[in-house]
Amino acid sequence: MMRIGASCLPGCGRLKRVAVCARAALVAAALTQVADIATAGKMIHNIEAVRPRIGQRGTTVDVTIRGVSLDDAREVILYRPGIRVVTIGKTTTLAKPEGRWHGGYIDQEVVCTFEIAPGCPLGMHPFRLRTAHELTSLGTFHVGPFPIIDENEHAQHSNDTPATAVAVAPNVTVRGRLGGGGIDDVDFYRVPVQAGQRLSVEVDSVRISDHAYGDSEFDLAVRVLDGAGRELAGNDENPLHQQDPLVSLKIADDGEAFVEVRRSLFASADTLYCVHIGTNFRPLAIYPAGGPVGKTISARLLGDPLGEISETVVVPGKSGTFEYFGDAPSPLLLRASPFGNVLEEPDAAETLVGSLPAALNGILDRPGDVDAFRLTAKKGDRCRVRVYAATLGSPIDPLIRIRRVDAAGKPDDVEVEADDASYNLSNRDIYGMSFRSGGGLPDVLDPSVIWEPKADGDYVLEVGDAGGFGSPSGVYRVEIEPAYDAIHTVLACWTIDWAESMRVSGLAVPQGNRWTVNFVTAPFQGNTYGGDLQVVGHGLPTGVRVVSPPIPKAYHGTQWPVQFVADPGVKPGGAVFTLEVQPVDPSKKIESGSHQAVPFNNHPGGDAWHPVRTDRYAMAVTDPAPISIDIVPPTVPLVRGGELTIPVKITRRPGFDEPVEFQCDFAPKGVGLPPMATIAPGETEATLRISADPDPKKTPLGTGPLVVMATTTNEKIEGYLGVGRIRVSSEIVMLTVAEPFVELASEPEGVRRGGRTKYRWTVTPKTPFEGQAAVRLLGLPKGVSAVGTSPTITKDSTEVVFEIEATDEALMGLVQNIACELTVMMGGQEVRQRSGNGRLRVDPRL
Amino acid sequence: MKSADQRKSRTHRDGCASFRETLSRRSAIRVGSLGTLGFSLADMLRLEARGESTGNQAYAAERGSASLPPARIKSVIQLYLPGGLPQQESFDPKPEAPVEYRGAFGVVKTNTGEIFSDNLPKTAAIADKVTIVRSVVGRIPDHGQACYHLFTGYTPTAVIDYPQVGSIVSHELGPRGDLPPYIAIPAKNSGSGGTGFLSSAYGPFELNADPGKSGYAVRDFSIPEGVSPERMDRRRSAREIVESRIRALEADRNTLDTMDDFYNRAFTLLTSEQARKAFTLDDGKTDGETEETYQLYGKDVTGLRESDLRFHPKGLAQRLMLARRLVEAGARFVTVEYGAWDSHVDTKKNCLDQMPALDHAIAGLVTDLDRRGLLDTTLVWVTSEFGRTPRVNKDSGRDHWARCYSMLLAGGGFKRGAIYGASDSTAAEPARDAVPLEDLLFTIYHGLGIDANKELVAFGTRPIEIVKDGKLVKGLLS
Repeated sequence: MMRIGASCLPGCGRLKRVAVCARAALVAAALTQVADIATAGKMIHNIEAVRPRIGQRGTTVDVTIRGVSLDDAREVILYRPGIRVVTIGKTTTLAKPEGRWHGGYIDQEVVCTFEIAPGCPLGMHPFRLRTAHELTSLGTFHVGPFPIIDENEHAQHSNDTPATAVAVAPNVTVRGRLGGGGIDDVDFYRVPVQAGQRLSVEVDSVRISDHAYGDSEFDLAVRVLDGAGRELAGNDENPLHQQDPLVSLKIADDGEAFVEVRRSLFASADTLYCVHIGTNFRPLAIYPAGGPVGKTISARLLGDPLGEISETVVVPGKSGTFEYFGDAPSPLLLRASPFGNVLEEPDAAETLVGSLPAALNGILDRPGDVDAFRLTAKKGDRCRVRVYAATLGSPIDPLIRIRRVDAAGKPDDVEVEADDASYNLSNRDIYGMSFRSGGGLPDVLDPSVIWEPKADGDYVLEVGDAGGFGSPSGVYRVEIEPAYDAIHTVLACWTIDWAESMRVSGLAVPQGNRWTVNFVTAPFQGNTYGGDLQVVGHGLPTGVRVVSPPIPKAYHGTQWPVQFVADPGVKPGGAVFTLEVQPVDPSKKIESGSHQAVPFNNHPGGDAWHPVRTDRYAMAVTDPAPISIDIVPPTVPLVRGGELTIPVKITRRPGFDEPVEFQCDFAPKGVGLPPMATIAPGETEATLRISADPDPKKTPLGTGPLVVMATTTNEKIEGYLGVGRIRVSSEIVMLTVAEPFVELASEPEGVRRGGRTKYRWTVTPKTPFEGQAAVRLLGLPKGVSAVGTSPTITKDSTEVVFEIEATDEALMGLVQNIACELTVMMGGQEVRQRSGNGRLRVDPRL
Repeated sequence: MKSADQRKSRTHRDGCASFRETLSRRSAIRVGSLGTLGFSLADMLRLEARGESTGNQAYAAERGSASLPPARIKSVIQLYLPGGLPQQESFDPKPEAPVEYRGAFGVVKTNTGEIFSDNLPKTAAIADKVTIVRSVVGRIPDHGQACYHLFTGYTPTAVIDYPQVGSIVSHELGPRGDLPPYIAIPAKNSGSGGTGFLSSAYGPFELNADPGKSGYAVRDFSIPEGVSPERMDRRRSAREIVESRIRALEADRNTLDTMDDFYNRAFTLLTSEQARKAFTLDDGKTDGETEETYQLYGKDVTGLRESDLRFHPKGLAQRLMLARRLVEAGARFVTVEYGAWDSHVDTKKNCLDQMPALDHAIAGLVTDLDRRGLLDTTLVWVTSEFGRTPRVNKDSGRDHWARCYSMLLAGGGFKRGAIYGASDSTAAEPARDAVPLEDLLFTIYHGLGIDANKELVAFGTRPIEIVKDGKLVKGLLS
């Protein structure tokens, strides 16, 4: 819903395209998957709420962290500088737990004192809590520039009209709450204003939400009214902040203005928000939207109601997207790039690009506007062409075409056309978020392609809007650079809904123990490197080692186990670190980074309105665990179609006699794993039985890692996300997958009821084995059985014959999927292999 | 098997698909009045309302002339297990499958020499009274759509809303005694559709109360305290006076007729001693049930302790006992819902939570019906909307799987002690005798004496088969 106002923001149609697509998917998902969530596993996070949500920089704030299993909190691990946690209080347990969606709840809280430095970066500060035995799920806190007051709507609906509005002085942030209940809550604020001044109002709701699951209760709208109740401006959605409204206007008359905050749609739920009410400059775009790393650029700030101004912006020394706040409470986004800018020449038919790489910058400032850049390229080049527009908050939906220039100097056929047809987020540098419809992220509107010119010569790159839209703030930036090799590490939440799971992606290593996490190696767009990789950690605490075998090409783009080992002497503590991959071959070097995305305002099916992305990982060394786990490295191979048993041993700390669960969390491709198993109180030994798919396409030969995790149990907290549990890992052992010993095949056979028949199978030796192997038939139906003892074969056998008989109980007709299982003794260990797909017909008695 | 006339009629109808699509309301009336039986459309609709349509007459004649058995099922107890029962952990275990398919449970030998999952020892002990279909084929592994498919025989469309099986039974056979023909315990599943294009009068009577919970009482099923039956009668008369006045002014008489039907049924329920007694279940205080019967159904059987520290879940024994009482009293179709089986995570725990009670209750119900001589006329139908994936997933769970799954059928002329159909080595696909859901529904309708080929008229003009393209599965019938 877009309201028309003095400061109506352009481009909401584009935004809606993303939002509507995503929302349609969400509605469908909600309809079809509610049952899933209700029974699939309770989504219990450690941190369910952080209050307050925001503090002013330069102040000290008591922050209450609420959730589950927060006992013995020791440390707040922050990802960004600027906040010092000066005290961590004692954890208290609530008299009555508070429920959250999808099984989550709050039954504990701990108060921490955050000292926010005067120079603390504005915006979101993700953190985790380290307790004696756990590293919690992600929490967030926000830092703003303005003094902060509370709405203080003690009596419900006490400020629902202009007459009862809460009086505030500009340049203030109000922590507000739209209450639940049957009557929609509306909050009004009264602001003294003067003619000619600017009034900027920004609401943070989705962007500061810390609800694991949320919905339209976070979709707010804002209006500014004059003293007579006339609407001066209003906003619901905008390209910069999507669902969070933003309005800035020039005041015409002295007097009072009234800021109204309400929901876009009625929802009977509490919604926390912050509204920043100020006289601050509020541009909607910056041009150019980036510059060379480490340089200073002169930029135009566009879209403010009092007009455009120029500012000098210092570009950081590291490539990537960065924030520019000015004096506003929320930032504009720009790019820092390792190459120079080319600015569109508005009056020229084409803007000449001297050389590549370069960042082409322009504005689609009117409907139908198409900008053209002429550049020179060579056949054989591989360029990555990445457009930044919606990603940075621009209202346009960019479309690019690259045309070869013909001999007459005119643009010819289109060689590349790129829009936003793909929701592949990894092409937009976003990892670990395989959400439906791109998670509603505007980034999916911006094209990104690898361009390989077909010929030497001049080309024209055209930039337009897919729907012919244009706007004075329709800024875009096209970065063209040689494609380069890069593979990133990603800590993905691959549980249901992509909900963050400490079981899957947590990193709490008990002192003197091990913890293994499966990271994903994610090749960047255009990557060509396919050699073995090694994992390298940076910033880990002293005494913590990373153990991970080299990653072969077959596992690029998939999961791979990385083990963290804490020495017995290392002190419990937390750290934020990076994990990158580099070629094992020291002569080669690739780009690599760390990526984790944690969904908030999630929906069944996994479409988050508010993903929190970090470029580092957090870990904790925790107090010693009551268990450790060891597995016996297999001395014999697992053959395709075979089965192998691996002994598992738990060492219990004296006095610890709880059940322990274990599960193999990683094995080579094609290896089948059993479900989680339990070692009962008092017991310490179990076995892990694994199998290998017989299909060579699914099960490559070779050696790969295998690791087993063990976890304590917790009767009070459902364990799907791993909260309230201590986990330890076995060492990573190497498992060899080999060719089968034999292949067996048979012709269709028949047996009559009441009769016997010889069932012959041909044996084709594949891998020699020692001694005799017993063979038995699998899949015989009721009433059909093999007579006598199982026959045996040797490595030289060419046939094995079973005598089978059928009784009158046998169902007549064709029986399929009959297989043979042979048992070979190797190194004192039973190795089993299955083979064959036989058919047997049961016929009536004569 | 169809009679020659019916085949002819069918061929004609099939050949006129385009005609049916373009059939106008006006031409339908004309065609109806010129039909071979000489009925007007109004006559036909009235006959349909009484379950005496030409289709059923022809079908009855066919049944009489053919070698098919007479209608055996008087009542159906449908036990619906929402979410998707794992066939591997219930009726179709695969102990010889590779570890990633096998699951966490062993097997138990049935008294017929077959195997069930060791989650079902009690049911295994009465396997000689039931038929297991191990080769049911659904269509869509999505809860909402599969549930609708199960309950109606059709997958959802945006154009036509199809009636549930219970509603069809109610429409075709009508009430037996004072009880509503179609009853849902504790309530109708929200994803299962409704009365579709039939009048809402054929919807289920929903208890909206759980007989497994203390203080159970059927809502809206008791005369308010202090109101005598005579006073109720006077009030009813007063309502009729008001309504007749409205009827005189109101153009939409169909709506009023439907409401009238509701009121009459509700009044019958309120004043029927038979109905009141059937709905009573009070732990043996006045219901006439013995403790032995409660124990037979597994009243005190519970599963694991959940994180809320309550035993989870309970009440199936009472729900099925109530279903049996309602069937005894004349209900045609009782649907009972139990549990939450969508075990994407930790199928083992899900089974340990719910299977003991399920096992006891199924065995108890079948045994009880058999002892009372009701099993031959009552079909017990244990079903989910689909099964679960052959392979155990990374969370030790199984996901949705509609391509092959299992159901239990007992009584009502279905074979005893049979395993019908077979799945392949990993319970992934039917290996023999696949039973599409439509065929199974057709066969159940057949047992009830309803011709599922019969076309009901939707929206006044559009004939729609009760089951489209269903076939009789003769091998299921004794």
